[in-house]
Amino acid sequence: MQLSEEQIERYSRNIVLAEIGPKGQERIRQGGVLIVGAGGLGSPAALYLAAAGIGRLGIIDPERVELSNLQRQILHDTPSLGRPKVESAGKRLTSLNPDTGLELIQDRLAAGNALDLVRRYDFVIDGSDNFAAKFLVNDACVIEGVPFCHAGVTGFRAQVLTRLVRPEKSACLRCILTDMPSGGETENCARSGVLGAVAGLVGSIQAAEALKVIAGAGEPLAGRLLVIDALAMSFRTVKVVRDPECPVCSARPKITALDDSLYHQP
Amino acid sequence: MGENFLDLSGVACPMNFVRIKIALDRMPAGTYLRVRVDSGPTLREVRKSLREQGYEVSDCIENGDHTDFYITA
Repeated sequence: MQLSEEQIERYSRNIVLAEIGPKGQERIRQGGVLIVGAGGLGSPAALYLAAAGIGRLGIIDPERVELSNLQRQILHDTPSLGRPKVESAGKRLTSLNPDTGLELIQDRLAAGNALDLVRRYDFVIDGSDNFAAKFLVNDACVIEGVPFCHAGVTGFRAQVLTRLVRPEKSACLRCILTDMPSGGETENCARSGVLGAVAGLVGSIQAAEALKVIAGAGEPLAGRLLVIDALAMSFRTVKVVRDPECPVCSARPKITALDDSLYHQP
Repeated sequence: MGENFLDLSGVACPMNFVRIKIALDRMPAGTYLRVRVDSGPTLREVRKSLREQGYEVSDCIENGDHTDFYITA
């Protein structure tokens, strides 16, 4: 490992950690993470990954920065209003850490591009804001065998699940949710409220999960669903096991290829 | 001198600790690194951190402003 003097100083607080050390930092430097969505979850995730010295960051998001985003999407700022989110992200992340290799994709993740994209990365972070996309990320990562961290946040509540490729750690989103929540459950004006700091907390957890898996430190949230209620500030984990009948991750999956018809919000 | 020697005189925590870890990471297991740090609180902090993280520290030789010790990689 040949870190420059500047890198040794920049990453000193990682290297000091017994669980990271010089070897862990090198793994982080060699690692690539794809972040789906440069919004409330993707923002803190991208910032902490770049800060930690991740080698490559891919960010995919089709949208432009809007005023209501700035309440929580801390990757962006007032001068970047109207700009593509990935462009705004690129500017901020380069400023934070010029070492970070960036792949910025102004597009929507879809059946036609998901597999090619996820297979080029070591870990995927689901920073999407709708369940159709969450299922797409899940299926693409299961099919390609790429570990990932699912999360969803609404209001003050959130859930986080990491999926590794080892059998006992590989319960996926479809093991817990057989179908997408119907329109009635998710499309509700009040449901679109979320406290920025809660999204920040969750996206940071996702970044920590990615770094732990890449560096080989600690225990990821695999086989455990983290359930957060930020109003009570309670954190609990629920054991989740792989569903032997899971349509995508079981031994005889029904979903073996992606098709956009699978990912329409009902 | 034929030994691995890391002079960290004047280097404060945690950078001294970071450099020790990087040096050890590059050495074959079982070999020795001789480290020089400032005597006093710096020495105490570094030694404590090394021991906490399971490194074997031995043979402290104090020489006024600085102290040398050995660690096994």
